[in-house]
Amino acid sequence: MSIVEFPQRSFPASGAWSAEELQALIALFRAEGETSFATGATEHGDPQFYLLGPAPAHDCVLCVSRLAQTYVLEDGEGRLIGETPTLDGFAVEAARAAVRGSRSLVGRLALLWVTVRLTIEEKLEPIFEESQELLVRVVPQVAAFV
Amino acid sequence: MVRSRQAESPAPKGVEQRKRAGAWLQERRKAAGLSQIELAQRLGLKYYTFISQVENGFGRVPNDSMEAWARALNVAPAEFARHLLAFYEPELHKLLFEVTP
Repeated sequence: MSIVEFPQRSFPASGAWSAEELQALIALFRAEGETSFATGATEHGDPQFYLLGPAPAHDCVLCVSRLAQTYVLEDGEGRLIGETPTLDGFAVEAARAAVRGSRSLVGRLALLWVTVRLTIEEKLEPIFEESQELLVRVVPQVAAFV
Repeated sequence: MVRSRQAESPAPKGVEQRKRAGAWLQERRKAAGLSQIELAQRLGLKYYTFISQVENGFGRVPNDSMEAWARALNVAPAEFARHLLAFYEPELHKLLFEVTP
């Protein structure tokens, strides 16, 4: 029996967000309306990403932190929403949190938005791509027939 | 260090007050000789990231855990709540404690 060795995922060392991570977070929580974001760090230098609610309060709605090899998602009141080794994993966590419900309306809406958007991207886009592929194959044949 | 998309516009008063509250909490934590991790452990939190969220001025100490925070930081709960109220709800604090009948 042979054992397949999977490559180790490389996580950035503790410190600021990498450009790729920041891009992924901004895309994941694509700010709607008046929401905005800010970044910071813990006293140990672990990076944090804060999704902020509307003005004037700009309360933290969601907070993503990177600790060693885990991304931690919390709401603005410190409730743990999820923990995942990849940022993509938040799709599932966000869906769970949206179902479970949060006391914060803004937080609930933000999570719901993320869930809906990710569902659209994950489920519908492949269907559209498939339809496009089908069209590309069928249209020339129909044209030739006509 | 904190970076914000809205860094160019002046921070609203509420945001400034929350940051001042965060700085005060950090001061109290250090006075109690605790790291963020140790404070989180005393509060029964799985991760210490919420402590940082609050100290950086983005989150607030929830009302239902204010007593636990106060005791962990060796501050009398009433004094702790009153102090935070001055930052989080200055108008209410003024009505309750500053306006004379």
